[in-house]
Amino acid sequence: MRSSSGDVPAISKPVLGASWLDPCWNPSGASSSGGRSLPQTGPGVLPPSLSRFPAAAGFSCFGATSSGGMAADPFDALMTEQKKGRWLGVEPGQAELGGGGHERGASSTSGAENSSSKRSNEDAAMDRTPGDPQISVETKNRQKSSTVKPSGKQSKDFSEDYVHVRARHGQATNSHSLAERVRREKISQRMKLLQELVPGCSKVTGKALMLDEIINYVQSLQQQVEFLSMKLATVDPRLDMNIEALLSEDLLRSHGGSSSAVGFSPRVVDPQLHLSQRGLVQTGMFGDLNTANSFRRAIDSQLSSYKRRMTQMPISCDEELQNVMQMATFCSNDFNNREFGDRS
Amino acid sequence: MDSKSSACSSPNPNPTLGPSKLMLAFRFLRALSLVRRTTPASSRTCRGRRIERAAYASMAYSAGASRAWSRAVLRRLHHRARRRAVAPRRLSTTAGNRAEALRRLVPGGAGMDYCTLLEETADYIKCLSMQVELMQGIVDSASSYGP
Repeated sequence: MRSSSGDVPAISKPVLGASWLDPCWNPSGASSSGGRSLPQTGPGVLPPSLSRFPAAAGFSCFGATSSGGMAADPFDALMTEQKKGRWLGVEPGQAELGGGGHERGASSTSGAENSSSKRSNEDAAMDRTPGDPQISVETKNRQKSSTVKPSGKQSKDFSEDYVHVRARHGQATNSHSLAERVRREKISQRMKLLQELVPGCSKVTGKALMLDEIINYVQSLQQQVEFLSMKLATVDPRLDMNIEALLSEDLLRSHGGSSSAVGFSPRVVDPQLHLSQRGLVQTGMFGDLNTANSFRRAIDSQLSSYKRRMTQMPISCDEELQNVMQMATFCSNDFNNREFGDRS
Repeated sequence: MDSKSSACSSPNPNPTLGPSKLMLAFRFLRALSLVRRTTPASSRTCRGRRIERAAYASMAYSAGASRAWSRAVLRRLHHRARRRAVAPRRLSTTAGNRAEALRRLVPGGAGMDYCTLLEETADYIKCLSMQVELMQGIVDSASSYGP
């Protein structure tokens, strides 16, 4: 039927016939090697082959109906996928406009707003294609080729829209199996990432056991959140004061740069004066963060709490320091990482 | 809870570096103090549930809108707030198919393919562990005061 399906190791497909899907998509980039085999149909038509794919729930945003006359043809999947490859690769701004127009219009008809909004919020570092294996491999964009390269396959991209993937020696050159292999490598990459995140997963081998570990870990984390939130509900009422103290200290330290203990002692000595001074300065700085009101509230409560304390027995400053030190250790990792550009 | 969710509208300034611990701490502490101030001390479970929702909300806001799971969390929280329904417990049994179990655990996992699910799980785990670390730190500092 189609001469290019599986006959040659290096597959290249032009972007054909997708203009009816996206009115603002520029068809000038389409090269015309091989004729158009897709009959021109109205924009409301979704090929039934796509509707079978679970990830194609996102495609249904282009139109929920499917025409019975269209043959189940992977080329249709290729075509729509290439259009998306175009979005992902080259013109994110235009893609969002075009994609957003379609998706907003039809998102009420489909429940897959997950994937559609995912498409418009494209993260260039991650390949966000729906990743169905049936969808042809040459639609992957340049980011894709960079992840394919270390696997040993030779891949070069002549244009921004699609990559040419060369099959390894002695392996099937079918477009489907190539896509499968690419997908499997993506999955194994992500499993390795997860293995590092989940403690105790490095000893475990095999996808099934690792998945079990991951599931247990996520469950235990969620249970911990629930347990800790119950605990926080019943903990000491003095916590409120300390929280306000933490809030003000956090912001002061984050924009002060270094966290030194020297800054704490004057606070204990003359809290009202220092906090009000610094609070006013910080309030002006953080207008964009929407923290002005909360900061004023924090300052007020801080002042009132200090006034209350002055009348009672003076509490040792160790508590405050301990408190703030704990927050410092939690946040200092973040500072160090951000300074050196690491991931926190 | 609507006031809490609408109060913070600043996006994540460092999406590439991953979720920011400082912003998470700030958001959560603010929400925590708000909850403690507004709910009566007698209704402990009600408070606990609200704090848990605050934890997930601050997690989701810190992660940013670029993550599918954070959008799903916020969507779920906003819908619950509107309909005034109590959030059902997310009990997940490890079904025969592990991928399905993972989908049930990770918010927004039902609508994505396996590859994206793994990616979202990784980010979700990162944010969850940060949140747990933060909450544990607060509890520790609170209990260190002692009677």
